[in-house]
Amino acid sequence: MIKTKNNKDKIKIEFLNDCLLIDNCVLVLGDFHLGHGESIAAVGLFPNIQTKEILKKLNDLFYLFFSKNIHLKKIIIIGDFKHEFGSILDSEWRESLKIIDYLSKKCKEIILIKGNHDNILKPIAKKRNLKLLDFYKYKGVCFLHGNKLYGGCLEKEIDILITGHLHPAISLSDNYKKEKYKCFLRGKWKKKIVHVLPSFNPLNFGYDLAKIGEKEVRNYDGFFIIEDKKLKNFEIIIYNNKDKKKYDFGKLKKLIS
Amino acid sequence: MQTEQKKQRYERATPNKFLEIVKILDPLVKEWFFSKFNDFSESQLYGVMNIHSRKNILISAPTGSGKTLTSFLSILNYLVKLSRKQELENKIYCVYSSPLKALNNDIFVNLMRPLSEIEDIAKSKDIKLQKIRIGLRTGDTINSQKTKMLKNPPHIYITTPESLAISLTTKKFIELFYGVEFIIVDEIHSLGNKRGVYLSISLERLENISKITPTRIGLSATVAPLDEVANFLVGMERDCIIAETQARKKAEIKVLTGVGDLIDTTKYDLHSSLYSLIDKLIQEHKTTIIFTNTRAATERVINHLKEMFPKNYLENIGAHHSALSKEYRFNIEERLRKGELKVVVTSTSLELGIDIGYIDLVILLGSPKSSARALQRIGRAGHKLHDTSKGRFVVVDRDDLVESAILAKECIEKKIDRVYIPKNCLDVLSQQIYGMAIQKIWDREDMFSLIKKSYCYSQLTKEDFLSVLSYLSGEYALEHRNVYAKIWYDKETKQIGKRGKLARVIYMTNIGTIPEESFVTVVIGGDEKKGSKVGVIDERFLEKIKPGDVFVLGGKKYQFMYSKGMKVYVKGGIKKNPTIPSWFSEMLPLSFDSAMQIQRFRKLLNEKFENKLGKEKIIKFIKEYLYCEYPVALSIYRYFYEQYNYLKIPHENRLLIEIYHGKKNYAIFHSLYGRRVNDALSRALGYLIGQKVGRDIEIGINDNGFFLAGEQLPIDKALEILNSENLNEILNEAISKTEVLKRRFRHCAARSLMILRNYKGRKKSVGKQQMKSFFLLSAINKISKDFPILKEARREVLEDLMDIEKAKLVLDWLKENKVNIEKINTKLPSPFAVNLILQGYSDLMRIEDKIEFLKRMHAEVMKEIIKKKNLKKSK
Repeated sequence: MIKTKNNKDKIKIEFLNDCLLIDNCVLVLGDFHLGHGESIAAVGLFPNIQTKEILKKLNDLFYLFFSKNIHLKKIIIIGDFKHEFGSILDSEWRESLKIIDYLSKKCKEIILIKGNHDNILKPIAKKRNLKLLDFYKYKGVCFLHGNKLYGGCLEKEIDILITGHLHPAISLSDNYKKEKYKCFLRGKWKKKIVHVLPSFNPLNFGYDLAKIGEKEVRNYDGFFIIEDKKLKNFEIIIYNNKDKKKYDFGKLKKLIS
Repeated sequence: MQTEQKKQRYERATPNKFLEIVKILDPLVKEWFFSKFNDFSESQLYGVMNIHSRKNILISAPTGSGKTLTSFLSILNYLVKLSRKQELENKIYCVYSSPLKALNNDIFVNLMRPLSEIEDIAKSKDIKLQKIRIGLRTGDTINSQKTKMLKNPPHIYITTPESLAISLTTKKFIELFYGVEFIIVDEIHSLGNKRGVYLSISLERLENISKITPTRIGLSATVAPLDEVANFLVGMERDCIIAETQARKKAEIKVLTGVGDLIDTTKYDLHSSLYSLIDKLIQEHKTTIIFTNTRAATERVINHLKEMFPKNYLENIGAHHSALSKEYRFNIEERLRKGELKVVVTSTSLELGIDIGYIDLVILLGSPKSSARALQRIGRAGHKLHDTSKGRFVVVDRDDLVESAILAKECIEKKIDRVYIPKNCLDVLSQQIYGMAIQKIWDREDMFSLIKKSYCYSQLTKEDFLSVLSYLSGEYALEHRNVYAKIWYDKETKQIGKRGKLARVIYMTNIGTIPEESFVTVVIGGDEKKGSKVGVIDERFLEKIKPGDVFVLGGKKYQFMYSKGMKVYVKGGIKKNPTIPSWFSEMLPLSFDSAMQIQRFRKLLNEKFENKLGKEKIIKFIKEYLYCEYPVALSIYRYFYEQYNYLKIPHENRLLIEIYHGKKNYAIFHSLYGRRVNDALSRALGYLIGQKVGRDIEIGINDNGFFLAGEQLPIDKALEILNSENLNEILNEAISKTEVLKRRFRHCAARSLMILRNYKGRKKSVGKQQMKSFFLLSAINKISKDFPILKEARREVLEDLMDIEKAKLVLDWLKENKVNIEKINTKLPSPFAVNLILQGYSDLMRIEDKIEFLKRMHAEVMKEIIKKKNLKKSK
């Protein structure tokens, strides 16, 4: 539960498998990157198992909601629903609609937030009559992709920002072993509480935060709205889907020092 | 597992009389021959008559002994006789296969010349000859030439194993093979790999197509065991004669160190003195070849020579290795022949018999790891038979010194280590069956019995054969993974044939057994020397590495900074120990035979020390035993002296295990059996220990031994469990999740055409192949553990990469107390262990589950956090 200044109600944010559930009724999903596999499958190599895997992951999630008697009011997809920059391939069109239709069956209101990879999402949104927004506000929470900051996001009434875009992941290691895990980031920035979601795509293994600070790796500034220096003070949270638990790992800078 | 194959023993050839051979020669051939030579060479005395009387023969003779002409003389003679009678038919009489395109070009030229000279003689005598045609087909041959060949078939067809396989599926070419009378397999000693296995079935297919049983002729450099190679050449249940010429090329072999003692010098001195020595040797000779063991080392040597002696090396130095472009290599070969180069640095690519002109010195930088390879390399100097080959082992550290000295001894005493020929490779079999199905419709049993005639498949089980058929005919239902059925197989009629219109195209564009790899360049990213290249690493290495990781490349430690595209930026001059394994550069393994020779030497020296023989006497013994000079003997003496006094000398009857507590706990096994055996032993033990303690175990492996590192190391218990009966089972478990298996699976999947490297004209990058193989492997693991290609990947790891058979032998020795284990605690690693510890670990046995690890790490972090909170509170 996060106590907020502006709203009398408390806002409940629950960590789930690569997504967040807000107040038991708003599901936030980030960075599907649909077509990331498709673009490879187009050259005849990569079996398009992506849609299948995503649907499986969603199914697990909705089964959990069902068993806990949770009814969703909104699903918010915070950007980069599609991967391709260019024109839409036939099959991509089909796969995208398949997932949208699946989600529509589970929840009436679906909100699409524009990401940097979503230049061509418009026709899909239009076809299914969905909203396509730069950002979206719900109670004291502002949802945005994270590549760009919009004026409205930092208004006073906003206490919490929720973004994607970064695909955070972290490598844990002792003297003997090293493994990489997708993770959430949580921290304070411009007096707001910020949550960064991992990518929802099971084929995306995430961007290792250990690389933060290695300037040469990301040689373009402003990839993410929050600069790396600030991100180092964010907390790392890993959700383990096997035992359905979240694990706090403390501040990023501690882990990568 | 393979059952023990019956060892064949073949007849040995005796030399024929000069006049006997002269008698069979056509007058034209006779005149030509004696206008060029005064006498028959030894190999000709052994071989020509046997080939003339159509006997299968394996000719083993050193380079420059006229083997090639031996094999062709009878055949040319036969063709000239026919052409004089105007009886030459439009068919291929002789198929010649060699593994190298460059060698094929040489052979082509070397056949064209005598033919035109014979034609000239005929013309001068007014004798009318039909034209004898020679055709060359390799991967480089253009289509118009191939069509030309179909119109006017060559009488002698020169090709590579891959191009031969393609010809065997081309309808019009098959017709030309109906009357093949001779098959020549050149450089047969270099075919102890999957290419050789592949060729062995092609030979059977060729024999099956030809209405005449072709005579098989194998040409080999010095190789052992000859009977096994002969068996490989002729297949099962056929006779063969082995011609082993007596004349050996004289070799003058020495081991040299750059400095007096390899330990009392700084790294810098060692380095500079090493290159000064190399430079001195080069300057004293006309043309030198330097052999290194890796491609990266090749580049490094050239750079250092140029840097340290800029005046000596400008345009007169070159590299020659398989990663360089064809044009570049060709240019180097050409310049070598013309004598324009002073020195060429190469890894393995110049080992085979391409004509490279006059070389007067061969330098072996670092141990060549087997005496057969050492001899082959040294034999490149003084190409003519009566020249003396001059070879110099230049050593880089003390283990290398001992190893090189033993190899030099073996070379001088002509002890050759044995070749290894892989057997029952199911991926190669898949490719061949696919090719056969394209050729025609087969009865299943005919196909099976043809395959079983190959030496490499004589032990193939029906079960494995049928499972390959199941895979190829799509019974494993991998369609949704885009792996489609490749052959048509009717279980009722038991017939096998082609499937799909694209079958031939797919076959032609995906054929081959050599795996594709992709590499990224490692570059210095710091201020000094910024941008200078230090070597290449496997692309997949990048997946494992994070900034700050230290790894070893070409014997030096580098810290990873960042990567950009196909470049990796690193910092040099790092003192920290490696944090990440570097097995990716698969190194040449020391042969088991040579390793055992070193073990014997260790035992002999140990006895001398125990008998308190005294320094000078021991040095004298070393000098005599190893045929080496005083400084070398002294260095070896000191090395052993230190080991003897610090700990104990491990040897053929004593397996020393050092328990050492450094940053981690180490158990160092002085098991000098070569990397392939150590790989098997260490992984099996590591796995057992890991299972026991529930944690990952680090493994470091080299030729001289291995170490295990972990929090707890109950090695006694693991050694108690492990034996030669359960080794196979334990290893299968131990490798099931390793990178090695994944990588080998990708190679096998490409060979068996599960992953197409080339489809409809599009080439797939290695990266994409990796992705696909990753998904295939996880899918297959769900379908069946006995899927033939997965089974093959496991076999390849256990039998080809590792040496499970010899590892079993070692375990039996332990059980029978032929080898005794002695466990000793040490404060610091003993001298013999230093190199092993310094190189860092090679692989990690993954035992602990990813999620368990997450929980454990979380608990650690929480401990820290709570500690800090309490501290704050108490303040």
